Amino acid sequence: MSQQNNNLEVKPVKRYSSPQYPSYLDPDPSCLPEAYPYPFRHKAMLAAATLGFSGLLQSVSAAEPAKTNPFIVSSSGLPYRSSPYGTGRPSRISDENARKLIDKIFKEKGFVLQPNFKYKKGGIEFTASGYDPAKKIGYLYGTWNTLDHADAVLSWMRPRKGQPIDANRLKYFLGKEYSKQLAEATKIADDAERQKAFRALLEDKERKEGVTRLSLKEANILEKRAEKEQEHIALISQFDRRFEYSGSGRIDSKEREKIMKISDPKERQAAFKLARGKSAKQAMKKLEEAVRRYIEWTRTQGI
Amino acid sequence: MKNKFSTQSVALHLTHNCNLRCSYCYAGRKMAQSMDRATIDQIVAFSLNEAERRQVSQLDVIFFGGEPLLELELLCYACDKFITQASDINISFSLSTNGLLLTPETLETLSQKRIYISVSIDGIPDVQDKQRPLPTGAGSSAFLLDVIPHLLKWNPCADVRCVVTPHSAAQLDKSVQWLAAQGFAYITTALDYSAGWTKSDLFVLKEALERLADWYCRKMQAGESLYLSCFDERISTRTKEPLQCSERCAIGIRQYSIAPSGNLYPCVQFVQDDTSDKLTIGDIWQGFDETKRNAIYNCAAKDKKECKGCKVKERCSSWCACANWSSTGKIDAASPVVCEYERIIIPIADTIGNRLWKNRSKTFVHKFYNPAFPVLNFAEQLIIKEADNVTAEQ
Repeated sequence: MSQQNNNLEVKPVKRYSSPQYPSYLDPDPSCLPEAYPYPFRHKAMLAAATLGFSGLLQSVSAAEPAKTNPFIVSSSGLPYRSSPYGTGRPSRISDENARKLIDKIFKEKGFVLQPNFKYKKGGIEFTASGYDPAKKIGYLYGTWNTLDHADAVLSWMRPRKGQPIDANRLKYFLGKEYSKQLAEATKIADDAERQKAFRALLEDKERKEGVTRLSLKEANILEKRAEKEQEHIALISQFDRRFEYSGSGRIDSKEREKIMKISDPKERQAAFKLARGKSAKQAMKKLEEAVRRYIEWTRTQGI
Repeated sequence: MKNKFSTQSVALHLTHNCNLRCSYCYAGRKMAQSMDRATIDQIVAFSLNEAERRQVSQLDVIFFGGEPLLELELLCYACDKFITQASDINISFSLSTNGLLLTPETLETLSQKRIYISVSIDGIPDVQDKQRPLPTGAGSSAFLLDVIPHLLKWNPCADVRCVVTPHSAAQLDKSVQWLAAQGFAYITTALDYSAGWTKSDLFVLKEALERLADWYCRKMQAGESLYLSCFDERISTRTKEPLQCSERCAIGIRQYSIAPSGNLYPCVQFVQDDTSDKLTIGDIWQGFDETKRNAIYNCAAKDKKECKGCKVKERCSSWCACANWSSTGKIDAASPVVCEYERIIIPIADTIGNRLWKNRSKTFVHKFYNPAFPVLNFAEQLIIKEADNVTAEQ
């Protein structure tokens, strides 16, 4: 603790010239006109001009913990209708990649998710991608295979209500498992009876799938009763436009312009591939941020 | 009626344990001895009661150690307890950490709880590795290089504390410049007063401070303000009304420390390994030993006869009982190291002030004379960091 002095000593300063800059006893120089305008840093002024003051306020407030649920059903992009044409459609984060990322985040936050959990409660039945029964929190990554075809993801081939059902179209929609029953229904001579049989097959398929898939109707009910039940199951939709990437609209226009100037087609293709890869990474990052915000939000709900 | 301007600060030493072995550490032996929840419950009740008794409107809670992040759960528990139990009082939280455990998740948690972070980094990696090694003896700088960007993203105004020893004095200017280059805008330098400083060490320190002063002036003239304690605090002793001794230190009265055992100490440096009865001023169950507490305070507050007649007495930090005690073993004896250091730093700070005033630097004028400057500067810092974050995302 105490040290040897090493020839150091306490030596009062006998003479000291008063500095020239104003002391607290002198008139306040910050009140003088020459002190203005206030010397904001160039960087700060540029930021305010570039981002806009309201944008800055928003981005600053974005650093605050999330107060809203980023995965509300209305922003899920559902119902999604498939199209017979694939050209120009955006790419979406695969089930495997999404679940890997989402599971990792939930685990980091201390939740123990049981994968492919069979959820059944209050008339709602589906297989959740992951669910922690102890903490009553989980999620469904909504894809073509996990969402109900009755109202959440609608195939362009699905026969529409009120319209006559075409056997060929129904065949593609029902799949192989119904081929025998469809063949028998097709043989029915009476038009009305045949349509009734077709409708019954369609409803049978939907009923079977309804046990494992989440419908839009069910998703809305879960959302409404979350607060009361203190149970939160996020519907993270593959069709949520926020997580789309690639496609004509997803690569930055400046970057696309730059790539289009490449004369060699192979090089141009490679550059597009690289840009789409970058775009995919950005989509994953957005998904990650949204999941983290979701968990933060559930904490404010008492989880 | 409450005095709306009075504050009190309490340092909670959550644990004696630490994941570093700093060469100059005053926190005593590194033991796996920490507070528990029952102690925290009592601390919260005790501190709030003491604050109410003293009629303070602001209580500053500082998490200390050892390394407080080794007890993150306890830290969060304490924060929540203070917030739920405090009624008519503002509470602020800060944390003094070596930074090694500042993961993005921890930073998020600390940010949500509004805990201001002060991280200890002694400067360039070479200095950091020599002065603040891991228990294995290996350097710690490599870990911090990963931590710093995340820290500044969550806390653009985080403070960095840089301890200067006789061995690192020659590189003080490089160290501060390195810290500024990493993005720190609030840099506190602190001398290790307990080290065996010689005249030759202090001469080397003086040269480093002069080089640093030149850099600092150029920064200010370019409109780039940063808080650098060694200069800013000395300039402020001229531009702001000098504080009375009782307001400066108020050791044991306006500030006190609580060891993991619940024992009370006048200040952080006195806790050590919590084995000295001489230095304790009570405990959280039986309260303050007011006789001891007042004796220590009065001893520290009285004028030092060895400083009589000094023309810069009002601007010197010889009032700091901790610095005097760590240097001389006595709280009422002026430290020769402190005195020699002040005789170096005050003239250098005044040279800076004169130079910037001569050029009528607006940054200098607003920084040291405009009372709104701290808020404006803080907001500016947040705006710049936010713009940097948005640009990085794009």
